[in-house]
Amino acid sequence: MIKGKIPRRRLWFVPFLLPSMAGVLIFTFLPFADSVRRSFCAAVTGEFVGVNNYRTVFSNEAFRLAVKNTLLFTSVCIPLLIVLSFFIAYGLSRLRHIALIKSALLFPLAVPTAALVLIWQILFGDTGWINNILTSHGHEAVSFLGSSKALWVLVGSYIWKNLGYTVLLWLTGIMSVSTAVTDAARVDGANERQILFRIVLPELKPALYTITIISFLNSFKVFREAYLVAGAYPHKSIYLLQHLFNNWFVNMDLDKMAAAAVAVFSVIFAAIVLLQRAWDREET
Amino acid sequence: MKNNIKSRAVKLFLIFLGAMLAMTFISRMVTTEKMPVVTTEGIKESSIVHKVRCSGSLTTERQTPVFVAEGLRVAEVFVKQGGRIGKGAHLMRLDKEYIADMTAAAEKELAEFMENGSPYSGSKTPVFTESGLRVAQVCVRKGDTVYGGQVLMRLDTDYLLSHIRDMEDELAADRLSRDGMYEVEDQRSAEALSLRIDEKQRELDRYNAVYNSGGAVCSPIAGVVTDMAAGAGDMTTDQAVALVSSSPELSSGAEQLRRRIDALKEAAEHEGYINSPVGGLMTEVNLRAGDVTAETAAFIISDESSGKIFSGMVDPDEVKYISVGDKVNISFSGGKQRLKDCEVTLLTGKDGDGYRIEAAVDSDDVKPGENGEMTKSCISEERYTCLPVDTVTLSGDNRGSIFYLEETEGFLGKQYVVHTASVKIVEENDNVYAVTDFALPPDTKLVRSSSKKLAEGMKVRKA
Amino acid sequence: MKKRIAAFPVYGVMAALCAAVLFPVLLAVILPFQAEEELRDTLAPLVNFSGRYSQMDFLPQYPTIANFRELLVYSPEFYRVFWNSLLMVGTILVFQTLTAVPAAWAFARAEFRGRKLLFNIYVIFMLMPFQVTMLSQYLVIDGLGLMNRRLAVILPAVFSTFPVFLIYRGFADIPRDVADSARIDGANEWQVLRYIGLPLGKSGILSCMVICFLDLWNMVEQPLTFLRDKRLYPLSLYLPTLGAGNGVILLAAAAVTLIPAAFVFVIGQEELERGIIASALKE
Repeated sequence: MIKGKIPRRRLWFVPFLLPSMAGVLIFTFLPFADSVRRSFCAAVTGEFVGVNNYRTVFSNEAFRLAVKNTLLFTSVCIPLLIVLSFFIAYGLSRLRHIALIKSALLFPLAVPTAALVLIWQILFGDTGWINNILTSHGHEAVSFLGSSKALWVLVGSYIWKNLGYTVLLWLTGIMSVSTAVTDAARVDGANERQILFRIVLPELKPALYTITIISFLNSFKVFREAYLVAGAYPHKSIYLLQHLFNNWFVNMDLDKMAAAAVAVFSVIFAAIVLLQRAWDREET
Repeated sequence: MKNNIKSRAVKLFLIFLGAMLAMTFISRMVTTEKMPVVTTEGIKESSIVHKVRCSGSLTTERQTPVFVAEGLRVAEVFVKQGGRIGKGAHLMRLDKEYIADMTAAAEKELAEFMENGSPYSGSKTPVFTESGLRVAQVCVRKGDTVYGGQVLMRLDTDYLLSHIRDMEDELAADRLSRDGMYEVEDQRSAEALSLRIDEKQRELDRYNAVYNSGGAVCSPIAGVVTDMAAGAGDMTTDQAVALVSSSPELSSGAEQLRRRIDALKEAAEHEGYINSPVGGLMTEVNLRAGDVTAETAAFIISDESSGKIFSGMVDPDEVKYISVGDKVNISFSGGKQRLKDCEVTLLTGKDGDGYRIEAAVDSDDVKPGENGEMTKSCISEERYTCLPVDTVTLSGDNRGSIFYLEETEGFLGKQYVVHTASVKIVEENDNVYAVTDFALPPDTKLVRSSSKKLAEGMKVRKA
Repeated sequence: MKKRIAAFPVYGVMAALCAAVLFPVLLAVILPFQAEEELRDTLAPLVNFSGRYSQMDFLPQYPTIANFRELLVYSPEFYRVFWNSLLMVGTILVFQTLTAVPAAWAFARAEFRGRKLLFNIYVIFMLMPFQVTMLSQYLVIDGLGLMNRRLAVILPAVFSTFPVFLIYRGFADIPRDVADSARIDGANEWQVLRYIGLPLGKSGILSCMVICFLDLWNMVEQPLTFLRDKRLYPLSLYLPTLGAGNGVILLAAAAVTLIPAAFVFVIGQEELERGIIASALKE
């Protein structure tokens, strides 16, 4: 690089990047920076209050509940999803005609959440169809959406939606294990189980990493289902972080929101960075 | 194959979108067709003119009753109820012979009454006067009621005067005689003569007193004359010239009889005709030919010479709009005669199921007996919510129903939904109904007309 | 050759699984065809519990298109929201692609300091749930005076970083030499992009569009926050707004909402799969 003068050619990418960057700047980056600023100021007056807002947020009951629920939810649904989809993918990897099955499993991804809200209510509502089956067999009606079972309903809906592409990802990973190695191992006398644990699984670590990240991020999307089916103030077992944000927003608790947003962002950011470091270390 | 499916799917998708586009217009057209088009009007808040109506008729201020002596037989009645009569015109004719009989019977009854009345009467006071005088005139009759001091009879004063002169002459002669006796010293005869002179003097004094009072003989008490002993031209005696009883029953009973006799005599004078004392309208005719008269009024006549008034009944609901002194309009004979600004003179409490109202009428064009209608318009004090008449559908029992528009934000933008409400009508005139029970804001728009039948909750278009 | 384990039972299990997965969707498609009386048993208990639970007939006794007719012929507002959705999603897709493709190309091909950092920032923002940035976006949009206008939803979505990422993956797979040789031949970067990048990265772009379509067709939080007038609502918001009280129309509307998504899915499944895989391969 010649000092002083950067050849124009080198800056070819600027106009390419500019529109996107401008938009991101305006609509995402700068506003977020502003949020950070706000998180240190009071909502109404705008004066600097230090970590007051953070203190308020962290001591807020609702926030704690939301955090607890969100963490609980992710720690339950992600492993469940990963394990379940792995088994399905493994099974599929042995079969031939799987296109249709793949399509079927993938389809829920395409289904708009709002379209199914009523169906969920019909099935899982307090007076819904599943309760109908239960009561007609002599059991008690279960309040799916109004008790701690709501969490499981949400987990179920999450798995339902995300099974398809998680299976797909596993499948890709499994398929990419070179057949040469497995064939060689088979010739050497290893049984399926050994092949599975010794060869396939280690190869799948990158896939696992990816799947974990994506599943983690999609676990936030489940808020939409919860909100549409159970409203803004659902049973406390499914009161997630997004519910909290939504309600704070509606009430215009801007400083609390800003502080919480920054806090959540930082946590996710940290998680990603950590995972990335771990993955990078794996790579090299 | 996959590409085949794909391209087919793409084609289908495009067809689908095309169909949706077409349906967009179709559905809009269909619903627009079905949507009623309405015109609306707003509501006003104002006072409304309230008209009080009442019907009644024209009468006169004074009602004169006509009484006739009881117990007489009616030969003919000349008037009918509601008829007009002039002053002095014949009302009815009584049977004349019957009258004569009745009169005689009454007088006899009076005499008997006086007689028979005596044992029950208590004290009868005798009235004395100097004897030897001639009665010039008797002022009362048997059965008359007199007051204390009333002149019962008058004595002939000329006769009295000559009598007094005579006595004075006698007295003078006696005195001379006495003087002579005193001179001859006939004491005993002189004293006896003195006594006689004193007596005569006293008598003379009495006569003088009578003369000084004009020769009137007065009743000492109030009561009824039960006896008259002397008639005109008679000479008075030592006996009582009259007896007066102070018993009250006697006096009132006698009075009635006396009056009756007078009425009978009067009827007899008029050949049995009873005439109307005033001109006016026959309000009541209680006798017919062949009846026997009774104590109650035979006729009641509205006296035309007294003022004309309109008399009617006002409903209890309406009475609060009228008070004495208000000016009202009255129209008679179906509107042929209209009188303006008559003043209300009377408004009394409950009389049956309404309030009686009377208003003074000054016109000569209307005659008593005509029916009329009184109206008064007044502006109500309160301000009511007034709804135009073509927005309200009457539903009986003073209630009406209205449709009003509600503006909502729908998916297609501003849309109007009709709702129905019920109101209570308290007043009306040609243009508006004044209502209560109206719980909507003052800028509500009411549906005036609609191209289709409306129901609650329907979406509509504004014209 | 991979040893085939007993295929049949596995197929059976898979079939059962698929049936279970597709069960709600099947319901959503079948229920609208049921007549009102049958639906009453299903829907009424939700609104008005009177001791009876929701019944469902899986095969309608009296199939009818009355519900669809009610929706498609007598509810013109449905079309309004439908075209709203389509308009918004279409606009977003077009402009998203227009801004994301060059940006992705730049990330893939250029080398400059801070590239990795910038890219990571992009990725991080892509991964945040909407609620975190909701507040700041609201403040900007309000400040720009865009509240209650369709642009309030369109603009932030256009500048989302997700498509940049997806398309970048598509471009990153293009071998360097191919592009470099074109450069040496004298083409400027636009031409390289146009004649080499686009054809080779087509699958990435298409998969991005498919994924984004499915995501956008579904979007609920952004319109809910930024749009007030009902007449601006997209189809995805129309359904929740109706509520269970209008259950019959809701079922029909939900079924119709599924149709475009199903179409896109069928048309773009291949690309979809490719996109998913691509996005996962290198995080």
